[in-house]
Amino acid sequence: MKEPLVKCEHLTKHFGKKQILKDVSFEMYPRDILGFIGPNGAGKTTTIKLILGLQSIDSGHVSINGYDIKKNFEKAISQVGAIVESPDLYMNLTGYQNLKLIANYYKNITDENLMKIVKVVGLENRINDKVSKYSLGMRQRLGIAQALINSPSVLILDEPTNGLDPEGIKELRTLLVQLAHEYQMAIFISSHNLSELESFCTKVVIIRSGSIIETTDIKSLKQKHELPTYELELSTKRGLEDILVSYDYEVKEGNIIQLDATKNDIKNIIRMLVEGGIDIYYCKQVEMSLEEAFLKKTGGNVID
Amino acid sequence: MSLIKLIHNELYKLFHKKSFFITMIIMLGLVILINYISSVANNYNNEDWTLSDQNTTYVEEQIKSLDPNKSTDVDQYIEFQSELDTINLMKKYEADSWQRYIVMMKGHALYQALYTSKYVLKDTNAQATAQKDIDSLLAKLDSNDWKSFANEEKAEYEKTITDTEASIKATDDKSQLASLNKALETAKIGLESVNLRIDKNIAYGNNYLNNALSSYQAAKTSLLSFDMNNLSDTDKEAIKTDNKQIAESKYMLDNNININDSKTANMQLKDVATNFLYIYVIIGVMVACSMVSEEFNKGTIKQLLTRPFTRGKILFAKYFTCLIGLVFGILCVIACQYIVGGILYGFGSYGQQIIQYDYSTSTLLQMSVLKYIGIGFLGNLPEILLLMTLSFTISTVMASTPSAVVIPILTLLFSSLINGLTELYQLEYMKFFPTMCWNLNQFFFGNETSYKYDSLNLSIIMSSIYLVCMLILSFIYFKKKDIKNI
Repeated sequence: MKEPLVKCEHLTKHFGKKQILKDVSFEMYPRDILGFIGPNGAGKTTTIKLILGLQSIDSGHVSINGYDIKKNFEKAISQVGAIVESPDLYMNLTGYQNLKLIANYYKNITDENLMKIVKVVGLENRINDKVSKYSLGMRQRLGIAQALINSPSVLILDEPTNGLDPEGIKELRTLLVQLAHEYQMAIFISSHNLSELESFCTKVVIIRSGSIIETTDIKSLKQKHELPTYELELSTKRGLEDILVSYDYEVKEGNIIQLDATKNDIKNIIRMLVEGGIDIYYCKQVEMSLEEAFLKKTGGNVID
Repeated sequence: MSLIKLIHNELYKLFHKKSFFITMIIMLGLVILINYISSVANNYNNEDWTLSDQNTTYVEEQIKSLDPNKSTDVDQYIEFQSELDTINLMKKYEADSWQRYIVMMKGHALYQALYTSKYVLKDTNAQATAQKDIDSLLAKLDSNDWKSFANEEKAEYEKTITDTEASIKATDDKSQLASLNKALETAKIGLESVNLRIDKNIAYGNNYLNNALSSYQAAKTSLLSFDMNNLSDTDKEAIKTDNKQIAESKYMLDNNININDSKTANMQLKDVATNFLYIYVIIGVMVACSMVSEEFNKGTIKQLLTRPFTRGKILFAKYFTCLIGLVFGILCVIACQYIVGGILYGFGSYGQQIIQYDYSTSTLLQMSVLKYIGIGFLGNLPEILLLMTLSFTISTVMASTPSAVVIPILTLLFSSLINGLTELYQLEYMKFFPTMCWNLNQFFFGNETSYKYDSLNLSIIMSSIYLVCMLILSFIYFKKKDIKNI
């Protein structure tokens, strides 16, 4: 197995007597898009700040690219691009001046590189306007641009979809998937909204009151719920109870029902229904959403 | 290398701040205003007031209301009438002429004698004598020979000297002897200065050479009054000033140069370090106050601290940027003074040497104006640096821009009060207090501070300790600080 790009081990953090993080551990590899999900106040931003060295770590370790964030800060952080809380920009400067300032911190970043990034985030028309005239969504785009300037191998985004319109969110998703695949980046995205991330995340870490309650690949999360779900539209529901005596099913709107079954079972169910005089318009396997899968697993609401 | 990048970026941010430019414009405006006011104030002249219409009208009105034949009014009447006659006689001669000066010195007494003999003594003989004196003065004034007055003066001093020497020989009384000796010395000094006048061909008047001559005579005479075996602190201070005055006046008389002429651009420029101390402090504070706190308040600190630089380097770059900003501000003020002074008084005087009295060797030093300004800034450096660093430290530790402005400025405003109280109550332990040791100018050119516990070395050491302590506090705090969630 390759070395992880980001490795968090047993992170704990207190503010005074209040424990903010308890034993937070996870790893990220190239091409990972990790969704860091939790309600407000669960410790998402604090975790990000510990990773970035913005706050001291009470106990535990963070290493990026094999460099410890405490002992070897400059090397560890040089491969990271980040937005924390909100995009931090100098309002009195233009978008271009902001990016230029940041480019100065690194070696060999040409104006061409800068303009390429500006195009990627779609700000080329407004890049010479002052940031104070930007909308929240435009600031968010500029924030992503500043995080990409040093071609990082790890990208850390704190609630990046804040202020973006649906079109913007869609573009962001496409961009992130592209970055993960083309540049082998590991991307860390925090959000309180699971459904926003499910379509493109490869990993999900769920945090609640400072503790990680679930770390999983998207695929395995869905697979953990062993039986596939099928949806059938029937001609009538009359006599259904008598036919499907030995199966649990859920009645949806109209004559649609859903049930969990193996391939073998569904074959039998279809035959039994037809033989029992109930016609079937269609039968399909339903892809379960991440959120539904998670709700099924924990039996509760993630966002509380 | 990485530090240069950081400093470059910090400077870029500083020079894109509106508040920095507004401060600079206000401060330069102040420099212009102060120059303008002082140029107007410099033109005010005492003689002008005496001869003004306002004063003449006032005197005339007083005379009308008084009756010389009433015993209650007569003294005042004589006083005003003499004044009016003197004024009228002065007006007869050109401004800045030696005649006008002589009339100002002698006229009043002569007219007073005339009116006293007329109204009080009612003695026609005395009145005739007084009138004769006045006529002879008028004749001499019209002869256009000021040297006759000088020779008259000289003869008077010589006569006093001969008389006093005779009295000294005649007396045995010790206390009388002492006062006679003093009178003799005073007369000799008078003789010396009138001889100087004749030698150097200095006509009577109100120019710098006459001022130098009279201040030379006054300072030398003043030195006679001290008992050299038993000197108090104030005496020592006065003797220092007298010696300085003698050396400077002598230099002016010998070289025919006015070294105290405040109406030249060069002389205005030379004190640029001390005159505008408050402006430098304000510029320093304005640069430092928001250096760290603004990044905290606007959240930009997070993106700054997630760059590949240690926090120590980042803070160092910020402090260094403050220093550059301060130097930039100071250079702007000097350039502004150079231009404004040149416009108000003419650019011709720039490049002239500055004459500075050295108290320890009692000699005059010659130096270029640049060197003099440099020494002035060196003396003010601890004060400016300490207050700027105080602002920087508050900005870093409290992350509050208003506190970082208000606290250093209040310290500056109250420092003279604190120092005054310290001297008043002679509080020895206060010599360690920053406001007592942050001004080194009081030690330069062999000067000794009036506050006897201070010394140059102590001041430098204490100022350095305060500076280093504040910087250490800032660095430790900045390195350890958790960037809190907003």
